[in-house]
Amino acid sequence: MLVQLDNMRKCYGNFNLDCSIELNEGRITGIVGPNGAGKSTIFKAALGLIKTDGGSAKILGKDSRKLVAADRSQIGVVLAESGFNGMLTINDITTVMESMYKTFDKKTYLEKCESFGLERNKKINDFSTGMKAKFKLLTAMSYGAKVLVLDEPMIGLDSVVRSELLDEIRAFMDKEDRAILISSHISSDLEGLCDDLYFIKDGKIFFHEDTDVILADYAVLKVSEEQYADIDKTHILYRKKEPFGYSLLTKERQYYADNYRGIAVERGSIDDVELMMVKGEKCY
Amino acid sequence: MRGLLIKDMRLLSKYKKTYVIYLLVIAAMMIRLNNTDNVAFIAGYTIMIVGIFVTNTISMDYNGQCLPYIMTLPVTRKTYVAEKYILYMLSSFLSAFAVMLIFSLIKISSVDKFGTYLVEIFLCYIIIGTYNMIMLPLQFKYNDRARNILFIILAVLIIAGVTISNANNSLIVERLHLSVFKTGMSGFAKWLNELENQPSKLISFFILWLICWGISYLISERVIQNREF
Amino acid sequence: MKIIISNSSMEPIYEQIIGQIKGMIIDGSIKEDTMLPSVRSLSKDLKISALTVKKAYDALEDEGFIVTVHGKGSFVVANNRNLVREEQRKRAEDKLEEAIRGCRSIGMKDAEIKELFDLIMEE
Repeated sequence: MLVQLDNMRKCYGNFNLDCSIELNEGRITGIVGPNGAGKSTIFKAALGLIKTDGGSAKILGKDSRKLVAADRSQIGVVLAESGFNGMLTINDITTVMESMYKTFDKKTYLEKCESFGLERNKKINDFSTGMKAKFKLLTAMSYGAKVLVLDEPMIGLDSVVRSELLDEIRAFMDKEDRAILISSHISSDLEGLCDDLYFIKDGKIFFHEDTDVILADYAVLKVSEEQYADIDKTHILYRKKEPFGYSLLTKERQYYADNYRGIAVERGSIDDVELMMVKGEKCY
Repeated sequence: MRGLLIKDMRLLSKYKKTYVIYLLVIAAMMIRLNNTDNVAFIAGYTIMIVGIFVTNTISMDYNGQCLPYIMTLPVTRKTYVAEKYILYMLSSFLSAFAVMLIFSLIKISSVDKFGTYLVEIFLCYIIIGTYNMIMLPLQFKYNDRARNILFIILAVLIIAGVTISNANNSLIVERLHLSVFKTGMSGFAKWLNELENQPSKLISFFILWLICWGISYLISERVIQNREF
Repeated sequence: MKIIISNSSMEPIYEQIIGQIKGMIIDGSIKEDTMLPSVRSLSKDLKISALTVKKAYDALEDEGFIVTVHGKGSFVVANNRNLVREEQRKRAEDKLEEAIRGCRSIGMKDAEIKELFDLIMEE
């Protein structure tokens, strides 16, 4: 296991985070949730930036607070609101990286920066939002890290840039035993990238499932009041009141698709699942 | 640590224009005041500016939201603190050395005065070093607020000290119960003079001073170890 | 290998992959012993999670269509004629089932269906 949060607890005044998360080799694991749900806190705990009030936070098999420089050389990081000082240029940062990371691949790094249109002599502050994001990600992937910890790497990006960055992330996984922990608001990005997803709200993980199971087996049924009265409710997980009647979340898409041909059965997208679980009533 | 040093030096080098302005200001002041013999002033000014730039790097890390990211780089918290101290030591020593060198070259005719120059520069180095020895842990803990407050306190103390030493009106001194302070100030001036003439005392004082630096480092290290990012 | 995935289809993605690869094996567009794309590269091309592709490959291996050699890749099984025939039979069976269901849904009785069947057989 490359990252392991075991009943990790952190209290910030009124906010309480309590969760268990695992990242295994060869996997891309995503964390989905609204702002303030605790995603950044999870990353900070995993990286040893904050202390925990209970449970454990481990990365690369070690206690996150006890990492040494050599360990950090195997971790690639993108933080949403922190990075190198904006007055530095890519040239400056390349020199810094060279002396910090033995495995820094200068040639490839500079080639990639060029192919993404990042000027070497420009201050980071003068980059556009998209370029800053590209730069952060390329830097995190430039030294052959074993695990990538990416906190909202796609924030504020348009779909073209996101697509390019997703390709870069996929390419990173070409080495067998690597893993990535990534968080995002943008569920559609996660659908095509992550192997499994953790859904978090108000400091609690309320759902964890493999992505393809969500996309294959989960469905949202749209029923009128009458249809709701007659329908088999044993496999309904969540129910949400709608103007037309109800939306129902189920894990047995095939069952309802086969037996209730008159009802609108829609494939569960990650957005749908999240919405239903957050806003709907639990029915089991 | 090398990486951090490179980072800070690259950052500081972005302020080349500011350095040039400061140099021109010093030169202008020197010429205007016709004060070309006042080593203490030049040295003090230069070393102080250098110290400010170094503590600025801490400020920039903090204000630029860089600290969380820096702590994920292959550096320990210990290394981060140590690098700032080393940066300060290096820059203040080099600037003191540079002032000495330049002054010697300019005043090459007054070779006999080199001894005094050396001592005065050394004293500036110590005094400003003491200020920064206290400033660095405060900067690590409270960032710019500490710097501004401490700077103001220091300025007030200096101005007060100078005013009081110069005050010949004993009535004011008595009224303000500042006699103790005045005695203290003259005592301090005497002690400084003594030090200049007694090398052994100077050396033991210097060692004590270095130990204080060690304490300053340990306090800073503890501040950062316990900090959450 | 040209696989096309539809995100909006009701068929789960990994079933689409399985179905299409099987189809290509059956109609011979992928020959025996051909190496399939790696899980990573296929997931990249289709823009889906690698785990989904892996599950599809695992299912294909369970059914005997491909074999995965650790460290090398996944290969179409040699001498898979029996399997291919099996699969073709199964698909034919599905089609017949669908036809019969269609007939029944418009109200034809079993005897009528059999009659229609014999008629078509003779043509």
